[in-house]
Amino acid sequence: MLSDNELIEKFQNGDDKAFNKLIQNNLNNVFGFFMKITRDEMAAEDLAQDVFMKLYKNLKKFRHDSNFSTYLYRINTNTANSWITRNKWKNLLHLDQAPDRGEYDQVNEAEWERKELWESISKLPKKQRKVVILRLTNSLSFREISNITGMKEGTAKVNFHHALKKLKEDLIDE
Amino acid sequence: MNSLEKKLSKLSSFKINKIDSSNFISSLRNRQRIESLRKKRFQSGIRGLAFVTLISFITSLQLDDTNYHYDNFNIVSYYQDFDNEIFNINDILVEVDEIDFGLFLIEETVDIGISELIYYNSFLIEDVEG
Repeated sequence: MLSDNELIEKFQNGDDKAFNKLIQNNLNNVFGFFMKITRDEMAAEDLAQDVFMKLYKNLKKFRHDSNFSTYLYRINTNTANSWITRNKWKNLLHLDQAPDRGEYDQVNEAEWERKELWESISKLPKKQRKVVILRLTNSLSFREISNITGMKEGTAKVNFHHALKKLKEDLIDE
Repeated sequence: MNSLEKKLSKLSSFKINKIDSSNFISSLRNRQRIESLRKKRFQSGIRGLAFVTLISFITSLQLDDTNYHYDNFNIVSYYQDFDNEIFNINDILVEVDEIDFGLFLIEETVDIGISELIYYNSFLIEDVEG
């Protein structure tokens, strides 16, 4: 079985089928990443398609300066970030349609908490949001987060610390 | 990891079913096809627009650059000058043929007597007969 880097080289040399294999190798990771955020298979599949569409357009320019996994994480994070921003406005516009928390039984309690968490995450500044997404959904180390986002390790830590503080305040308020 | 972080991580973790890669790839390829068609349609629209703009520009360059303008002039009746006594009818008579003058009077429905009409008519007849 060929590695991702070998598949990328084949794709860059004009082998379009190599891209299909690259998708097969990475699909579950990408899909899982978005499932953790959306908890909706349709939305996660759409976002995964967005990621592979972006990848298809930009992979010819990939110069192996960074790991492919880092590159893919970067696309995932940016796509997730845009989705959260888009969703924030959608949620704001549909606030009146949101069911009352009292209607929820215990089974749905966790789901409600999760929704509240992602709503709070959507209110965070972009940099903090990126760090939180990577840390919470993939449990990445701050070094890995700094490689993906391009910020310093210390900056990533500080951003995460501030983000947690805001999330705590926000979730306690609600 | 502190307790809040653990709690938040727990909220984001759950078992995820695997996705069918062949279905995913075929729908992705379909989407790519649709997007490339849309892109081609947009590009041909832009090309068409550019072509029309170019033809319009070339056509406008070929137009004569003479400045056409329409003068505003007072439409004053020639005969008004007679009324205002600028022209004297006698002066005109020197210049014009009597037949023309007769016709002029008839055309202008100048109130003339029948005898005068016959008089002027005699010139006409003479002219026709040679």
